[in-house]
Amino acid sequence: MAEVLFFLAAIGVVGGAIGVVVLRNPFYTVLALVVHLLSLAALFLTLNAEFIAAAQVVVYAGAVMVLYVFVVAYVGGGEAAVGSGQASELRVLAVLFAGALFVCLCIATLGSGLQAIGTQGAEVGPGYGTPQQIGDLLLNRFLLPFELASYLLLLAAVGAVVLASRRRGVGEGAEEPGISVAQLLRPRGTGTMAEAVSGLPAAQATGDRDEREAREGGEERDANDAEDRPRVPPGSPERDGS
Amino acid sequence: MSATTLAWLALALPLAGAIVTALGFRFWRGRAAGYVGTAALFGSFACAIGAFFALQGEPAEGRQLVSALWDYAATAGLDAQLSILVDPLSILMLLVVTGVSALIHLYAVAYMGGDRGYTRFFSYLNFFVFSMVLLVLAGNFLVLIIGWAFVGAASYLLISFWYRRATATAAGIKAFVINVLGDVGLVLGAYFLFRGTGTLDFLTTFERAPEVFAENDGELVAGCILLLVGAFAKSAQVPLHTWLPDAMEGPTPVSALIHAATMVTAGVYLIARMHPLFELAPTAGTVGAIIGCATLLIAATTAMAQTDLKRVIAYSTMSQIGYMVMAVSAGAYVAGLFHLVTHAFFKALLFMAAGSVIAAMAGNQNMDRMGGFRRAMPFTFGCFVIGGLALAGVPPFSGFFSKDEILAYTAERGGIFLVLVLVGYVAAFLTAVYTFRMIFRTFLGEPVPEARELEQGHLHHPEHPTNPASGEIEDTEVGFPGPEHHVAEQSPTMKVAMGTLALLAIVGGFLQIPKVTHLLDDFLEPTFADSIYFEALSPSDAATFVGLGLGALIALAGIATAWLVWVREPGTPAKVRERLRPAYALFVNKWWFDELIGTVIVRPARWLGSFALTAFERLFVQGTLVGGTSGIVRAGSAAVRAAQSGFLRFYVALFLGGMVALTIWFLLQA
Amino acid sequence: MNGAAQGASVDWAALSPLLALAGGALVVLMVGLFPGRGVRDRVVPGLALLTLAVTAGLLVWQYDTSTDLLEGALRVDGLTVTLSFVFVVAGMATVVMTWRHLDPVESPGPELYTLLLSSIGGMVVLVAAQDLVTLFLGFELLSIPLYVLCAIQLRRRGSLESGLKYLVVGSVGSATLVYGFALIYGAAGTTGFAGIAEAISGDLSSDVLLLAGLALAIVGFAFKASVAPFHQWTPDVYEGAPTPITAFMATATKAAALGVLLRFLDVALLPAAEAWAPAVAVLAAVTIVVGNVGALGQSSLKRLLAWSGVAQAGYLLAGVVVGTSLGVQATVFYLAVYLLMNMAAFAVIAARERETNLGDSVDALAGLGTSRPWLAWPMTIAMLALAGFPLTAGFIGKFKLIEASVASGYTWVGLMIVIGSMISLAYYLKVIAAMWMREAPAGAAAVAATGPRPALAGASTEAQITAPTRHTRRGTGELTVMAVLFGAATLVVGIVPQPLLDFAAKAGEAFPGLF
Repeated sequence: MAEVLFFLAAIGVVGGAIGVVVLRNPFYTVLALVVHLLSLAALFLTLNAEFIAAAQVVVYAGAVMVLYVFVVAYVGGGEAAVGSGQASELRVLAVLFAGALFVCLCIATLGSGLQAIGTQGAEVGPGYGTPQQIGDLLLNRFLLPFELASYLLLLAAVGAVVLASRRRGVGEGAEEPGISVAQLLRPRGTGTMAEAVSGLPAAQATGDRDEREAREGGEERDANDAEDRPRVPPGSPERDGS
Repeated sequence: MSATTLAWLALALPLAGAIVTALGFRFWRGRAAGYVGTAALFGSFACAIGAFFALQGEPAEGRQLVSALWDYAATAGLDAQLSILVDPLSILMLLVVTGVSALIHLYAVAYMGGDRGYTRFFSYLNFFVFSMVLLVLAGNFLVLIIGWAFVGAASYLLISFWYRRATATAAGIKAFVINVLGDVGLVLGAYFLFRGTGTLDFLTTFERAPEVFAENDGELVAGCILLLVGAFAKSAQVPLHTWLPDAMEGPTPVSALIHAATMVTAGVYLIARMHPLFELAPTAGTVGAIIGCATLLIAATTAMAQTDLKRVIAYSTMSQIGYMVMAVSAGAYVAGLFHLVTHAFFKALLFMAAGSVIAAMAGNQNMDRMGGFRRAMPFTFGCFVIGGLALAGVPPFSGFFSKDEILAYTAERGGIFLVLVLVGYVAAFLTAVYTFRMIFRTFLGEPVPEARELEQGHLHHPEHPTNPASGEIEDTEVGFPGPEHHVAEQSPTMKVAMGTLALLAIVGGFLQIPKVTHLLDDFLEPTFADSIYFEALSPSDAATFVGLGLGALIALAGIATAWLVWVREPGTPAKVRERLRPAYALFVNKWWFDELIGTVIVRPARWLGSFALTAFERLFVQGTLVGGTSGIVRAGSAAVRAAQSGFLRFYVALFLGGMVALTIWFLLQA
Repeated sequence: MNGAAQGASVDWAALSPLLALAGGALVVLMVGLFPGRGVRDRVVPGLALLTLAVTAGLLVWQYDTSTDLLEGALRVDGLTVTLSFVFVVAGMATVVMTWRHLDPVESPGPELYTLLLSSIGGMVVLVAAQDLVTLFLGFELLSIPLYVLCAIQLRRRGSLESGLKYLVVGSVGSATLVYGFALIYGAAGTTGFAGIAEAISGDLSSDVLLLAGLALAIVGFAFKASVAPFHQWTPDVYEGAPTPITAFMATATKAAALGVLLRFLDVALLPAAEAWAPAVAVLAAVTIVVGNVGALGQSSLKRLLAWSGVAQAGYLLAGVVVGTSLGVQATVFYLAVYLLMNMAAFAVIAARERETNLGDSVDALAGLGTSRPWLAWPMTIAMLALAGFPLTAGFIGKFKLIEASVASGYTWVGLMIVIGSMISLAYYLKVIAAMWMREAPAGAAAVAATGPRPALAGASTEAQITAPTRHTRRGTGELTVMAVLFGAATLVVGIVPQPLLDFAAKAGEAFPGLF
């Protein structure tokens, strides 16, 4: 039974992964990834790692993939298929290299893989794969990797924000707007409950914008820039709509 | 003061001179920098003399002193120290280098007087002398290599001194590249020896070499031949000689100092210094002797057909160094060094005299345009003749004794060396011919307009200075020769320098008159005491006198031939040229060495470079341009396209290729 | 761990440099949120420098430590400490170079320093890692900030392209690395280096699984160290990235990649040296050739230094191949020296980028010898040192590497180093010649003062707002000082190398298994 499950899941894993790469429609690609991740969860099950399998399903196949699907559906991109499809002379070479690498890795893995196929795998003690044991490992043996991984995620987020700032532009004037304490206290026009109820006072918002522009432009910008279209302050709803 | 202290001082003074002249370039007025530089050199020479006497005060067996300033990198079995070796050989070289340099500095004080780069010139020149002194005093391979490289760099700086002259910079680069090739040889050679002996120190190397290496041991021969490559590049021996004639693009004092008297003899010094190794590897010694012999013939024949005054002297330098290399490779160390000393005198003298003539010609070096300077420049003429007689080997001038000593001692080795000596005599004849061809064509005959102008007491200056090699119009600002020229007749300091050297060129030979005096033999004995040839090579009386007679006859015959051909029957050269057209073509094209090197080395290298350029770069660059400019694109999509435009694919494809190769290799290990 | 909640024991002292870096990065990030030019221009770079200085201080404090941390995840020993010094100095230099280099309207400020500090933290983790898991996380912690840093100059297409290329190729490299680790884990059954070494000494030395994993892991590291044929990203990325970041990548990243190779190969895989050493030696030779040939004919200085960096990676690999403590010492010494030489060169390039409108072209240096001797001399020294000229630090470095390779029977690799240095003279001298023998091109000294700023690369159309004309002429004083300092250090180390050699020898002592 375990063997059957293994082979089914393995086919799902490999097939899903191939699908992610081969399929051109982003939506199908994401679905293929879901298949891949679910099959992976099944593989974890065969390895006695029930908690990991559950986490895999909940976090990846559930939350993360739902996010992916939303992004694809929201941004669209269905019309512009990913991948240029241009045939390149390198393609032959690439296939050749990839094939050779595949053969090499097969040689490397098949030996030990075939040996393992008839066995029950490594012995596991009681309590293996329980949340308690995993928590213990994370906070003791793998404390540093655990912390590092969280730090890495933070950094990735910072990096993403930095790169995304090119969407709004940085410091167009002498003074980068930045976040002032006042703004932190009551961000304007960002859809707070109060604004939802009372509505955004339009005149005030425009005035605010002009005021800031006057402040920024006064110092450095010269007459030529007077024709600039009004800039969009960060975080305004206008930007998100476009 | 002890000999080593004085030697350190002799080393430090030129360095100090270089630094002082360089740092003070803003406030040196007039010729102050020249006098500072010259004073440093005379000081250095004085220290050298002091070191000489201090060394002579030591007992004969204690005349090899090593002094280390500090450990350079005393790590894991490497004894690299900043150390100098003071022994008779290095003191001899030190005396020659500092002495001749001091005189040439004195000459240059006036000669370079009109140049806009005056201060820079003396700073370079002092730096050169410092490097050269470092080279000759080096006590281990590391210091030797540093001095070796510095000398090459200084030579490059000085050849390219007129850096706005395209021909001069090209010549400088050529010299530097070939010298670097020599450096590689030297470094690799030193490495081979180091691998065997485990030390960098000279004396320890010589001590251990016989224990480590068998006679003609493969590694030792390879190491010695690599050392020879270094020596050949620096001493302009075939086939690494092509830079020396081109180096004549530099100012004349540079030619006199570096490319005649000092730097080019470094190869000879190296072989003499390494004599215990070469004696252990006789094969390498024979190779050196044959190459030296080939060079002396090739250079002498080439000199016959050149028309550039300084290039003729340059080829003659090559030829004379060929004699020295042959001598020291054959074991006739004292003879080779003796010739080195006398050659330094008379060749520097010849260059100075030639420089005076060139100044009178306002920078032009072409002999076809010269003539009749005898009356206009009597002093220069006299000096040139003295130098010429010494070079041709007419008794009792210095070159006569030294050249004959080389041939006599080399002949003593017998066998193949007899053939070499025969070639040496042929080249001696050619030497006399081309030397006097130079003299006759420059000083005799109808005076050219420049000579007439000088006879009126006025030095010719062209309206528009041009590059004599390419005819390009120049100005006289920094980077080109200055507006004024100076001839010996009008400058006391130049006269002093040339007069001193002329005197030395006459009497220098008396150091070693066969069977009469043997001052140099005695002096150098402590260095070469361990040599197997030092005592063994001793020509019999009969051989000595036959050699002396033959040498004198050949020299006189050569002069007579030159007189017949260029004075008595001025039409002869054309006839000879007609009859011996292939030989003439060979000589005038310098045996086609430049072309050979171009075909064998330069062109493949260039091809490799351009291949790398097209294969690795142009593909991508052009691809990027095409990818980037196709239409008006949003920057974002352009970036994405750049990521997908195939270059990354290519990168990753290669990445994969490397990965496959590595994986296969590792799998094969299993 | 008997199941009860019991915290891991932590040696806070030994961990302190890493904590300082991470903490500093977060403080910088938070402080950067305050508005105002002063914060951006002074406080944040100052804090970054302070963080690095504190880290350096803590490293001095931990100089003689030699201990395992956090259940064997890290090891703080001579190698970690010496290389961390290299990273910290590189980071300081980068902060100084970045300080006025990137216009506020061209790049985000505070985040840059956070990313930089984190990347240094990643490097420290990487070279200290004793466990495949930690190692991989360090690897990513080093890489991901760098991807962003390369692309941080928002108004230059080249910068974005550089970041993107680095990201894509880098991901391939990381994937390869982690695949290799998986195979190694599969073969050895453990992720700790000591365990792996023990397993290999047993009966695994010719196991296919292990060797295939080893091959893939070496590819991953070779990519990071820009070893041919995995180097191709290097010139593109170096050229496109902002110059201070290029300088950082060239020096610190290289040191980290070589450092981890030292520990990984010479500790975990030393018993399998017979298998990997010849392969790595061949890689070194190929790299030396490819790098030096590629550098010929480059007119962009950053590209030139990138190719030269490829070649230098080849030289450095020689020290890894030999697997002796002499080799470790030579490699660490060369890495330190490489930092000095490259930082001097990059400071000059950055200064010329600000002073002229010629960017990083060799033309920007023309006539520098007369116009700016204080820039020309450090550059000259740096070039000579990179070429391995005697009396410079580069000479000693190369000498040690050759010595190490010869001492272990890899004479031919030493020979390759010599040949490579000879070829390299051609392009280094070209730079020197441009400085001393060419006239400055007319009008190059004036920064282009007209024309609108280029659009933000990769931005959506609505963000393409014409920015004010550029007319800030930023000074180069600190760069000149930096160039002179590093140039002088190059020279001093070349003449009195012993202190630095002793420092590097400390790294060699960290490997008890080597002789």
